[in-house]
Amino acid sequence: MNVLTIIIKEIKQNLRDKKAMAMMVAFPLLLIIVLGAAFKTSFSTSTSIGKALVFYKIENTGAMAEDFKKNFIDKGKEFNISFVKTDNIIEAKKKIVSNEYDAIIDMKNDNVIEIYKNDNSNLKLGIVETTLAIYVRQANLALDILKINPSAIDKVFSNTNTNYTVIKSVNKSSTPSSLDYYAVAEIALIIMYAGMTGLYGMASEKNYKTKDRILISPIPKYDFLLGKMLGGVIVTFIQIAIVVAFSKYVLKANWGTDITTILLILSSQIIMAISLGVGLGFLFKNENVAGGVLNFMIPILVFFGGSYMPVDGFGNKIFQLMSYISPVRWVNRSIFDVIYNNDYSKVPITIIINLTVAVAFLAASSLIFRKEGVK
Amino acid sequence: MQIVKINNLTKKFNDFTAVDNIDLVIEEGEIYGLLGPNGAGKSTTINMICGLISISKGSIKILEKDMVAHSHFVKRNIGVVPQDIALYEDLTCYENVKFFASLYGLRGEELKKRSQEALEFVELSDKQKTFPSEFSGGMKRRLNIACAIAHRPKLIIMDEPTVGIDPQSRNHILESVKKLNKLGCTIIYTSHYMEEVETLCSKISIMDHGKIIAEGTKDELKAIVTDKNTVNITVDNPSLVVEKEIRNIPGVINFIIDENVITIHSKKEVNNFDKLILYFTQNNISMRNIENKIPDLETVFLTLTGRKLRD
Repeated sequence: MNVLTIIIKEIKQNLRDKKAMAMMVAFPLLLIIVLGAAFKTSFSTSTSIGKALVFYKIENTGAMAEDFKKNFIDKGKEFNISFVKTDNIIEAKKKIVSNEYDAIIDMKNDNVIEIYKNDNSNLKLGIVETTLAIYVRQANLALDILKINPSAIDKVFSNTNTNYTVIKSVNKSSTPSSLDYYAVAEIALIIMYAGMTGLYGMASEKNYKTKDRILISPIPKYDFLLGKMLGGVIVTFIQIAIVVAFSKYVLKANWGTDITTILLILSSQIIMAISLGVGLGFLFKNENVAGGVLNFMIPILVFFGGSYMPVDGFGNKIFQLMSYISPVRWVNRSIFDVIYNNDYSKVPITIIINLTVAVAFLAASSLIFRKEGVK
Repeated sequence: MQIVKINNLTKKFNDFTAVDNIDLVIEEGEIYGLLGPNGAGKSTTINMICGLISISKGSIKILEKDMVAHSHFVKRNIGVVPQDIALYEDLTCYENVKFFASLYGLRGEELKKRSQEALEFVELSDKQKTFPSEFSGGMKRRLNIACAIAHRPKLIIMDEPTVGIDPQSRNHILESVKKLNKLGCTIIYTSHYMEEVETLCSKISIMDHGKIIAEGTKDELKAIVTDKNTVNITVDNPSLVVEKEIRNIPGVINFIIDENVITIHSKKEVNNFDKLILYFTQNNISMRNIENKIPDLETVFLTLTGRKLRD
């Protein structure tokens, strides 16, 4: 009951603290909106390939050449290929070397088609090669039919659709947009700053001189500590729930279908962050020193966690290994896995890491608190 | 009934002895003054009585129960008005009182009723929804008291409750202390203001260097330093003063003439002031100044400790 009294007081005080509300609610929303917009292109779900620029040369003048011109070269636009006629293969090759063109297609007198490729134009070249291969296969098929049963040719090619392959962009697998990414990442970031709520929550009792007043009352010390901590956790949860709801329903960020699991992960991070703040407050005694340490730690943890930018595949092996020490990384990874891959394997590990850190700092706080005063 | 009984109480901080083997008894219904300069051990003693710091040696009994063994019971029966204003600026006046009262186990209607009564007692019931940040220093002090009394403690410890406030608020607080005492509360009162202690306290202890160096009623303490009253009278014509006639005034022990100042020592138990004045007026000895040198607590303190209370 005493714990509940302190929790209620904490909630009232924190929800009345306009600065804290702005920091914990408005600031992450602002970050989500700004970063989501700023890095929109980096997170685009499709990649435009662009138009392939191809030289062509047709050396013979027979039916095959005419067909090639009519059904392949002239329909280049359909394949997103821009054909430019050339008679000078050597000059054309120079343009390939200087990356101005992607390929040269040369139809020889004997109807053999040669292709010179620009190795730097993989995607565009792939389209050219695939389209050409399909055309060649179709042309060969027509020749074979003509040899065996010419009357069947019309039936086989009555469908004049030459849509061999039209690939204008390559779709990535299901991945977050910049808004989706930063909605998760900035909430994980701001939760770390809830450590300040834990730290200054205890410090304010000292500054208001109310700590002694509480300690001379008949409530056990641990009820006080627990009440302060749980109050901070509940307030932070309310603030974070507001941010999640706003980003989901107003900004339309993707939080997947299992919001319960996500809130569970975030709750464990809140408990960890608050305990970290409370613990540092007890360890360093001086709130300013503890605040400095926390302010130094948080940017490192959130950087490794990928809250400033995605760090998957970023840096060397040592960097990647170091990133595993950040609970924020585990939170972000497990949430993204739940949302995009329906993969829950990291959820228990993340919660265990968060709660282990919380227990360690709370145990340290309790031990130090026990030594202060009588009971 | 002994509300507080302290035996051989000692508090050491490493090698420093803050409180040195003190004994103290406070009876029910007393307003007990604790006097001492900064560092005398006053606050340490109070902190041990209210259970804020541990005891190095000795024992404290509150309401005849041991402080350590019956910590919960003892704490429930103590109300502390701390020297510093200990309030939440972001909770309203009523919420502050209600929160602190709830820590003492009050719930529901009883909690509301007691909180409102406490605010009425300090005359802040019309400010229930106001935040302390909007209060004057005196109002904050009154709210500070309300937070300590809502649970109706039997023992109230007031640690310098009138520091830094205007005379009107001080009078209000002093009246509140008297009212609380009349309602049956035993009060331990510490102050730097001697006149407050003299006015309020039925018994006083003087602490210095961690020890109680004197204890008793204010008259008993004054008696420690002097057994006579001294009057200094400055006159225009000292040659008119007749030694024999002054010595014949009842109670006069001795007198000295030093230029225009006549110092007359009288027995403490004899009030002869009016007779002395009559002598001078009847003999046409014109008086410029009269100073009745009755010893006060400041004199007692100065005599016992060799320094002023606020040094």
